[in-house]
Amino acid sequence: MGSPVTLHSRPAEIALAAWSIVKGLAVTLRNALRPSVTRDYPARRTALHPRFRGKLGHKRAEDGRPRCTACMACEKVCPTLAIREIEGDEAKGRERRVRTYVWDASRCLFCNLCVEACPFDAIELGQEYSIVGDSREQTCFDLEDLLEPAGKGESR
Amino acid sequence: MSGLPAAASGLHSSLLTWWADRGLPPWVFDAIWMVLMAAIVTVFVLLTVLFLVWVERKISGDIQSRVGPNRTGGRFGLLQTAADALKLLTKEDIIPECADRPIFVLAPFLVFVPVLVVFLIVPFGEHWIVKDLNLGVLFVVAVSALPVIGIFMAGWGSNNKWALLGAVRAVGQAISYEIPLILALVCVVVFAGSIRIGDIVSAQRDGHWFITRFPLQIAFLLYFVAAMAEVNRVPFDLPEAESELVAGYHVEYSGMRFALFFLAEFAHLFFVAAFCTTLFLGAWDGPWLPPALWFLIKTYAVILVIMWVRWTIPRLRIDQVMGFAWKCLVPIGLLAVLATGLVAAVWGVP
Amino acid sequence: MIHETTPTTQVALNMGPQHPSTHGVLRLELMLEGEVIVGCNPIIGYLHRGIEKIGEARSYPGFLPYTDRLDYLSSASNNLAYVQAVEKLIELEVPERARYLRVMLLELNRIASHLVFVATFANDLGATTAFLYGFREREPIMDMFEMWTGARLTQSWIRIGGVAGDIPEGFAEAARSFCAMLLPRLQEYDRLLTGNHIFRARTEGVGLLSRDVGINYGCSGPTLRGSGEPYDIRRAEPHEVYDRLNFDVVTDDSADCMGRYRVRIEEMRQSVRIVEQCLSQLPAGEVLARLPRVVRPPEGEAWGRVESPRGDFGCFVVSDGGPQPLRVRIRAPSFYHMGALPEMLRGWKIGDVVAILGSLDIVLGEIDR
Ligand code: SF4
Ligand code: SF4
Repeated sequence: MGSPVTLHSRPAEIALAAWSIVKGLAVTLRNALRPSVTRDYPARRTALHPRFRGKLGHKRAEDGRPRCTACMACEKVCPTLAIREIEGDEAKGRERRVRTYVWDASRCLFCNLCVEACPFDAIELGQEYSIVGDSREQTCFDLEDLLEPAGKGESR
Repeated sequence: MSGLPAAASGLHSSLLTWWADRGLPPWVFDAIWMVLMAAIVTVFVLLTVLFLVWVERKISGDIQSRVGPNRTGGRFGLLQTAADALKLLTKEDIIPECADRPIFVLAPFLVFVPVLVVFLIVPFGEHWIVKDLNLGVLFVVAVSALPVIGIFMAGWGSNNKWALLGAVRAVGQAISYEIPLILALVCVVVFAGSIRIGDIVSAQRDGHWFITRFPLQIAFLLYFVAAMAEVNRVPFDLPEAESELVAGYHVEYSGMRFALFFLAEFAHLFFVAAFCTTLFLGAWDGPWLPPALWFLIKTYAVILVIMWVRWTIPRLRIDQVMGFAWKCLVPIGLLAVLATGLVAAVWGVP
Repeated sequence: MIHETTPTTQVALNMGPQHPSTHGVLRLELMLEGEVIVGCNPIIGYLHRGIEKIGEARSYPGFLPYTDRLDYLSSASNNLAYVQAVEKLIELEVPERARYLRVMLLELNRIASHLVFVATFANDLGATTAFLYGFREREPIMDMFEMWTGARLTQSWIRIGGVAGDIPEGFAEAARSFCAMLLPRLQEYDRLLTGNHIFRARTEGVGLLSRDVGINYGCSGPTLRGSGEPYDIRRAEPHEVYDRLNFDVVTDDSADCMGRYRVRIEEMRQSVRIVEQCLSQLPAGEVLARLPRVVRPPEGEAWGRVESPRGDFGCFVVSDGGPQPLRVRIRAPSFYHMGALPEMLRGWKIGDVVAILGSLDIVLGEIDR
């Protein structure tokens, strides 16, 4: 076959080929002396950047109530129908508070559209990333799972 | 010399006397003794192979900026291969429905057994050789050519096109590289004046290693390259080229049968390195340290270089592999034999 | 190229869809004579998800995250092609800063994608170590993406009217230090791979794609530039701010696997240049134009094209005035390269199939859509 480089035509080429291999060996040796870049994952986890888009979370307002007013903007904007069953309590307008809210992690694209659409800055894509389950049900999270722990919101 | 071989040979002679006193035929004793030694060597080789797999994984890890095994068996994952071997042994034994059953089942053993048999003539130390055949080199050439039959059987018996392609490549490659390999051996034999391993080793005593003697360096390089092809290592790993033929001839094998191929490959690697040490690096010859240790140090050095090369370069294409053997290595080998003969005839073998 | 041989039976060999070197779920139906390929029939569709059809049932902004899943090695270019089409429809002016940020995101994606190419191409040829080196060098980019956009692979960060967020503090420094790190590493690749005679023997002269054949098949990107045609959307139809940036359109006349490889290596250097220029020219200002809550472009059609790491990536959007596109059509460069593949393979050996296929750098996500 007409390869421009052959490994057997002239003695000089054999020497050149051998030399090119030696150069490669030097590269791998140099890299072998560098520290390894992998981490011992479950034992030592790397810090995530603050913008990391992981599990959806509901924020609380200063008074401890969820900020979400069940306005449905996020449900409407979500391209994959990952957000559903939003229901608020009896109050109207800004005073209304969410009562049920389901987020399906297995449908979610983590695209951030819902967060950007929310007029009350009530949700965020958080730092939690191991959201696995054995069944479709287990990847659905309701309000209780999504709401950040009480007390944390006050300091915000 | 060091205590252990002396003690072993002392034990041998005293046991032999005991045996002869009972009026039993000495050849039976010899046979039993040989089987015993062979068993010890086999166990040693298998353990070494497990260790070598670990070494390979650690080395590739280092070269690739990774850590390599680090869980099973302490921080360095020393037991990783043992665990893997155990896993393979307990896996379901799958034989493809359309496979040629007897051939398929027999193949791994035909690959594995010859590779172990050649260790009979490896001189691990002074007197530490199971059987110093007077046809030593010839024996190695004959027996180490056998696995390729097993490989072809594996490829054929699997009834799989990928496996068959791998097997065809393996046969072509093994036969082609056998020739430069033998030419390299011829050079050594000319200098040693014998094809008995013991004689080859004693010709290199006290630092007169064959690699230091012109023109055996050529033979050494020749042997090194051909040996890499014999054990199917990159750049000559075409029979199992993972990215081309998936896994080549053993693509249909799993569990224990696959483990046999795998172990055989590493045992073969260990053997070619050990044989390289025997032929060119003075076997167990060396100052201060016990001979067996010297032998292992040199062997491991050869293995490390082979692994280092393997994790550095890409693989050749099949026609390039063949071309390299016939158009490059064989002529060089013939020249090397000629040069060796001339040197030996003109200056005589020291 | 077929050798004069005694007639042998031809063997059909299925390469894939489960094969380590078909870069996803591609199936090649090969006709072999011994190891020599006499025919090849690529069979695609294993990764078909109906993305174009999904586009017809999503709102304009809502379809954006789906485009990430086309060419998943460089999601920003997919986003951009789609977004450009929509922006043309609604005649939206994108803030200056956002344009620069888009280019930066795109070029970082290009470097990441080319690094994966080097890695997988080397792995196809048996150099396992270079495989891990490529991924190692790509990791800082992924980390930078996470820092900026919050996601590593499918960033969905380009929005209709700009980008979703500005670069965070520390990003510019991270990008600069990455660029400084990458250049010496590329030299290392040159010593490890490009100069290696085995690598050269495997790639030089292999898989020739002449310039005319390439054009006729609709090839683009590094594949076509590797055949000597200096066609680059960034220059031919400058989008965003490419007309203000200095960079060379890399070409190589050898038209073989090596040529395509060299083009990509050199393009990484050019992308580094572009990223550095973007960082220094970056104007202050908004990053996202104001947009109505529901995007309803006027009736019409528009075509957005972007130079993706694989070539001419296009997105055609038809609007009937409603909140959802009437039709979305995607032009995936890999698809056209796939068409040229059988021609390039004929006469080569199985070992070359992986080299030639690898040198096209296809992504099944965009071929099958
Ligand atoms: S991140 Fe995207 S896909 Fe997930 S819930 Fe929000 S809008 Fe839906
Ligand atoms: S999370 Fe935000 S957008 Fe969604 S319902 Fe609650 S307030 Fe509305």
